[in-house]
Amino acid sequence: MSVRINKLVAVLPVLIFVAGCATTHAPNVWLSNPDQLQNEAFGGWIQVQYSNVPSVKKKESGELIAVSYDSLYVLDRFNLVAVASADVTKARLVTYDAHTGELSGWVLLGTLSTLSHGWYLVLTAPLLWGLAGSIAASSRSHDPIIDYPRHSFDAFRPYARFPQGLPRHLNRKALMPKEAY
Amino acid sequence: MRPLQFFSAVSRVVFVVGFIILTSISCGNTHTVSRKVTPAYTYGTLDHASPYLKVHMENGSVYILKSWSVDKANHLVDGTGVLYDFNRNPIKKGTFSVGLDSVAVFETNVLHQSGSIAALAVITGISVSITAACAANPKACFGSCPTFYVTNGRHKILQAEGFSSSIAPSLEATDVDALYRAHPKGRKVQVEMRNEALETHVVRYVNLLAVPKSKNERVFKDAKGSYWLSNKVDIPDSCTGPEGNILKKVSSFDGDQRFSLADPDYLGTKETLDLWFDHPPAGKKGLVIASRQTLLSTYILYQALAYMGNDIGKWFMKLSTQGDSPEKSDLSGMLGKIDVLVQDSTGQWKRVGTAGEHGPLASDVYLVTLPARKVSDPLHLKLRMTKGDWRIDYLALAGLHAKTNPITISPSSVFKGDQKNKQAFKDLTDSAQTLITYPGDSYTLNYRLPKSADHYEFFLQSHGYYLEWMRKEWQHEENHQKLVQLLFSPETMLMDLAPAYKKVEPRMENAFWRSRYVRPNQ
Repeated sequence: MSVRINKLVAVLPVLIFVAGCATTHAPNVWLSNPDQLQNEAFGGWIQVQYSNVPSVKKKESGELIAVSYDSLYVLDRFNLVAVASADVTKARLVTYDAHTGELSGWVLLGTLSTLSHGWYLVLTAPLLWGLAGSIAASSRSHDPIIDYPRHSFDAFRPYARFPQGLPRHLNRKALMPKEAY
Repeated sequence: MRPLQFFSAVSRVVFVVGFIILTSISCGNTHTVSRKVTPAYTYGTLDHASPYLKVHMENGSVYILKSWSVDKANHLVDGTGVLYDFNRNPIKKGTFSVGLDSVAVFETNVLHQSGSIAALAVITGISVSITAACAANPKACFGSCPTFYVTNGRHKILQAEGFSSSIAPSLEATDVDALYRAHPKGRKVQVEMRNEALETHVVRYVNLLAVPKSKNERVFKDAKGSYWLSNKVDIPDSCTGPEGNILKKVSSFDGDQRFSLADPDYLGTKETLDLWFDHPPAGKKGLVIASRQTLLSTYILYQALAYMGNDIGKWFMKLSTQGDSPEKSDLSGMLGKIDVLVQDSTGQWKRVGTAGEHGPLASDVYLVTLPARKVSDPLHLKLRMTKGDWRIDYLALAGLHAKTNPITISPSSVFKGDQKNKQAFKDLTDSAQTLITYPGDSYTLNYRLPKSADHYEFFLQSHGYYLEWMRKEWQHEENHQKLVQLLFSPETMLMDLAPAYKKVEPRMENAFWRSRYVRPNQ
């Protein structure tokens, strides 16, 4: 096999994977593992795009604190920001760490391991890993994602720090971000 | 870095990094989370599969309780755990009973195995199985010599494999294969040459031999290289093997082949087929045999290469200078080809010719001319061959009425992919040059005929040699004593190797074809 094809065989699955992979911008180690979600009580990581003035796009990201009937409450590094639901054009909530980086490594190594398959490689590299492996890995990267407008904000509520809504007498200025921030 | 060192290094890295990644992912991270938030007044619907219950209070604090239960009678939730404030700092640890009327919402979380991770695990399982299969039976993950594809009138099919026995420079040779099922149209013939194995092919030339014939004639080539015209080709009236009637298997060239399994005790054991022609044609005639090898010979050849181990180069040099090779050793004679036997006047069965050439890929067509007979009685022939070594696709008796000669046609152009490749064309048409191909390479060779294709029978003349790539898995089998024994005193080795071969034999053909992107065409 020519060097060019060899490289393509190795890189193609990763390209397919990366192309289909859900991206998030949560800070490193901020997101918890799925099993940790059971016994801690922080909100998921949300990125919101909104516009309260025509032609001006704004972005906010941080921990989802609460969802009320008309607002999303996002705790960024310093402040609690209320974003009017009506102004939101796009939002992505990431509920846990799907370990996308490791998955791409898994697919890459799986592809490299087909070097030991002799001529099975011709099938296993592009079909088994390139297609099936990448689809599975890319699908995994979407497992913890909830997107607006694909889902309504009701779907976001359970993954807020306060799923019951913002507590009535909460001192908003005393609210602290998750330690790993 | 040599390829094998590279593969070895890659394997180690793959293993170590793979282990770290799988360990990292598998530590509780392979799940999805099903979270449910339930208002306090619907506590009856709480999901008890959740190991923890989060009790969210109106003021923003939360109890995370393990071993929790609902006391319906007293409207309480009981459990052991921790109370956190609105910033999730722990306030108190212990056993709690929380009144339902002070609760805002309950939260349950149940983990499920991620379908995507399960799919990746299955894919990894398949991949690892193939790796294990190739490691356990590396001789099933091989290939063989240049393959040639020509249209059968509908689509391109594998019609020939070139110079299968030429496994070293010293064995560079010319091979002529019948393109018996080729049905090109018009005056252009297209031959696709592929390298589908872990081999380097060194091709000096590939010519098309077009033998002029009339519409109802066929042309066959005998072992001496003579081309015979035939206008009468009959299948046997009866054909039997040790298993019984096999006429159906051998009466058409359709890919449905007759084959047997090797002897479990001695791989050199012979078997015999009987065939009868009730009304043989008068005059000169010959037996037409279309066949290809099973993987027995290839397995043994690869075993020989494995025994050579890292010294494969030295061995080839030694064998070449001594005029011997694995292909020319006693071993080759012991496995042999297909012997055609006829009865002489004393009733003794005598060998009148042999057919078959090395190569497990494409069935080739051979003609074994038969001695003249004075009577036109039914003709009884026997075929003797090593058990489990041959796949017989087609047997027929051809009346031969004249010898003829082919026209040799060189390629008029050579393409690699969609691009005309002038260098490849030069390499294949200048006898001082060679075209070197690597795994995955494919060239289309175009030939121009003097007349339209239906005026000719086609053969392919290829010349060159190929070099097997030594496989990492073979190196640990290096054993020069066994090699010498296998090559020059093979009888014992054919017994010793029998159990190992019998273990892989049932799966070998299937594994072989699945390990390539070619298929044995019908």
